[in-house]
Amino acid sequence: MPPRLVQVRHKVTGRKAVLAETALRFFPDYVKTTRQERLDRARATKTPAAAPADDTKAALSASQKEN
Amino acid sequence: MPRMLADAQRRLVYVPVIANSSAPTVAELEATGTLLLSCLVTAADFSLGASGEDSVSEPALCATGNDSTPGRVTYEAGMNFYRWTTAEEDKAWATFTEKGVGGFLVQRMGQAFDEPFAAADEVQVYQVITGTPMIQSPVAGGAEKFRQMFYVQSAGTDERAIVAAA
Repeated sequence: MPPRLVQVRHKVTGRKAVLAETALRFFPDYVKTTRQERLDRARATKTPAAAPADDTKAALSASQKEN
Repeated sequence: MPRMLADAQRRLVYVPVIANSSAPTVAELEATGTLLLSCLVTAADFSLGASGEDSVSEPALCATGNDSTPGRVTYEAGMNFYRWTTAEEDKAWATFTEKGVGGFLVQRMGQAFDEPFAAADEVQVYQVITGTPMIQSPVAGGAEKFRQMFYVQSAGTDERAIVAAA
């Protein structure tokens, strides 16, 4: 399965960023945003093949809107 | 005064978010949410910073020469990362997984790389977006590496930034 980008926020400042899901363990100051958690829950109900690309697009799209 | 030597004197970190690229805070640069890159990249083929600029040639009506002025700056950011044998060490490969990962590269010169950032340090801050990681050809007797290009965003870049206390 290809790596996935997820939207995260800084625990203290609340500032948002996009990180690879595989990198989250190296950045303990960041947690997934509520929106990302919602996407993850939605993803769990989708077919495994379609989910990663959709989520990455959604995370990037959300990030671009905020920037 | 002595010259600023280069060996082991560059501290380079990746930070996902910086509020003010002209004055990153010590907390932002030394938090647990940063990645120290100094020992993860090769010194060879390392590039980070302005590499040139356009020349705008629009002489005035009164000019007798082909007067030109500096135009847009071109930044270059590319480096070769080592691959590591354990997932816990292979941080760069796990972090820069594909194109589109944003963040900031912060570099300090002239002090030991393992000395933490402190207030009043002069640093270079580059807002970047990753390109696609490029696995390098194997070299006899060498380590496996991948080359990572970063696309520098000038709006969040300051090559003469000063670290703020808070």
